[in-house]
Amino acid sequence: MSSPARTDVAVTGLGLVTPAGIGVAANWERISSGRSTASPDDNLTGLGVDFSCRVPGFDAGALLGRRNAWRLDRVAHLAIVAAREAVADAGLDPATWDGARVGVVVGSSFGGSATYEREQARLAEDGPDMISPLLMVMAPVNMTAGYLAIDQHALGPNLVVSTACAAGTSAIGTARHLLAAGMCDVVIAGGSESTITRTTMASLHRMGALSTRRDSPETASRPFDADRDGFVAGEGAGMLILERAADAQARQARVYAHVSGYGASADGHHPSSPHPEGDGAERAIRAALADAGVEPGDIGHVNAHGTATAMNDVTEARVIRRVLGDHPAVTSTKGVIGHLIGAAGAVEAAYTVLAVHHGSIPPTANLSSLDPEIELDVVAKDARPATLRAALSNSFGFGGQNAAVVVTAP
Amino acid sequence: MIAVQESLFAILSEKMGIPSAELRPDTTFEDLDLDSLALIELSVSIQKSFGVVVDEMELSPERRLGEVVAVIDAKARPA
Repeated sequence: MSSPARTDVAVTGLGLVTPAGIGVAANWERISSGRSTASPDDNLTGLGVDFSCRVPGFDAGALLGRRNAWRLDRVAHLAIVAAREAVADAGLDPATWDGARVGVVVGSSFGGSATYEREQARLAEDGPDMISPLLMVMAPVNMTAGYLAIDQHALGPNLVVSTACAAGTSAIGTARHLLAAGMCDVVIAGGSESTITRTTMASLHRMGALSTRRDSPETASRPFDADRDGFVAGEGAGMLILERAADAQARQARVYAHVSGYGASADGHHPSSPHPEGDGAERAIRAALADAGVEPGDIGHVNAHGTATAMNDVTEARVIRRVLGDHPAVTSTKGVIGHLIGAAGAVEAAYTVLAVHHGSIPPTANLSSLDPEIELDVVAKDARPATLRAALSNSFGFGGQNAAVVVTAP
Repeated sequence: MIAVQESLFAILSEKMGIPSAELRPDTTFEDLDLDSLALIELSVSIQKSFGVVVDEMELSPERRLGEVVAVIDAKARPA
C-alpha cells in the first residue's frame, strides 16, 4: 500500500473563547498559571452538581450586536468570536479574500442545546403555538458552521463534525484533509460547545461522569491525581486558521506551528467506557504519528485527553506509555478549563500549538498526588520550559470515537 | 395607543436588540432587518404582552410599526 504525498499544514491564526478568558493572550496566561476556573453556577442550583467552568464576562450583545445576541444560540456566539480573532490573527480579511476557497470545519457535540431546552419548556407551559420558529436555525448542530460562513464570508466546504469529546480534534484532521485534497486554500477549523444546561448536567451527573466536589469546585478538576472523581463541564470555542504550508510561506504569514499528522479510530466496544486496554486510542495515536512521519521518540509533549475520570486517565496513561514511552512531558489543561466536550480537542490543539510556539508546557491544575498507576512525567504546579519539535494532542469521545493530532515546530 | 406603541417598541428594543433610535411609526419591519421567522417570534411576544393574536398578514415585513400598533390597539380594546 502506498501512502499519498504528505501535505504540511500551517497554523497561521488562533482564536480562543474559553473559561480561561476571551482571547489567546488571556488564555495562555491563565493556562500557564495552572489555576482552575471552576466555580459555582447559578443556572445549576439545586442539582447534584452545581458548578462548572464558564467563559467569564462573555457579553454576546456587546461583542456581536444585540440582534445576533437573541437570534443565535450561545454555541454560535462563542464560535464567531473565536473565529473573528483567529482570522484577524492570521492577517486575513474576509472582505478581500476569495470566500469560495475558504472552508469551515467545526466540532460540536450538542449544538444549540440550551435553545432546545428552553423551547421544550415553552411547549410544556404555553403550547405549540408559542414555539419559536427560530429553534430550527438555532439548535441543530450544523448551524454553527453555517453562521461562521455568513459572518466570515467563508463560502467553501462547510461542515460540522460530531464525534462527542473528540469533535474538535476530528475537525482539525478533517480540515487538514480538505487542504491536502485541494478543496480549499484556507480553513477555519475548530470546535464550539455550550451545553452546561440543567438537562445535560443532570444526566452527566447520573451517569457518574462528573466530579461531585461541591464544597470545593476550584479543586474538582484534577486530572491524573489520585483523588480525582470525574470531570468538570466547561463551555467555549477554539478556532485555528489552517493553510497549506507552501501557501502560508508564499504570503509570508506568521506560522505558529504545523499540524503534521492526524489519526482517528473507533473502539467498537462500549457507548461510554473506553476500551480497557485503550486499543482504539492506541490506533488513533499510532496513525497520527505515521501520518506525521515522526517517531515516538520525537514527541516531547502530550496534551492529554485527561478528563479526570477514574477510567480515562489510567487507560490513557497506559496507552501513552506503551506507544511513546515515559519521556514526553504530559499535561491536561482540563484541570484549568474543565471539559469543553466537542470544543475540547480544538482548544487543546491550540494550547499544544502555543506550547510548541512559546517553548513552554502548561501545568496540570490540582495535581498534588499523582495516581501511582499513572507512570508518566505529568507537569504539575508550574509551567515547564521546553524546546519542542513535535507534540501530540489526544481526544477520546463517548461512542468510542478517538482522534489525535501531531503538532510540529515549523 | 401611545401605551401600546411604547410596549411594542420596548419588545423590539429589549428582546430583539433594535436600537430605540430606529423605532418610528413609519418604519417597516423590512427596514429593521426583521424577516418572516423573526416576525413569528415577535407575534409570540405580542400575544404574551397584549393578549391578542396578530396573523401573518398583519405582521408582514412591509408593514409599518404604526399600522401594527393600530391593529393591536383595536384588538386589545374591549368590544
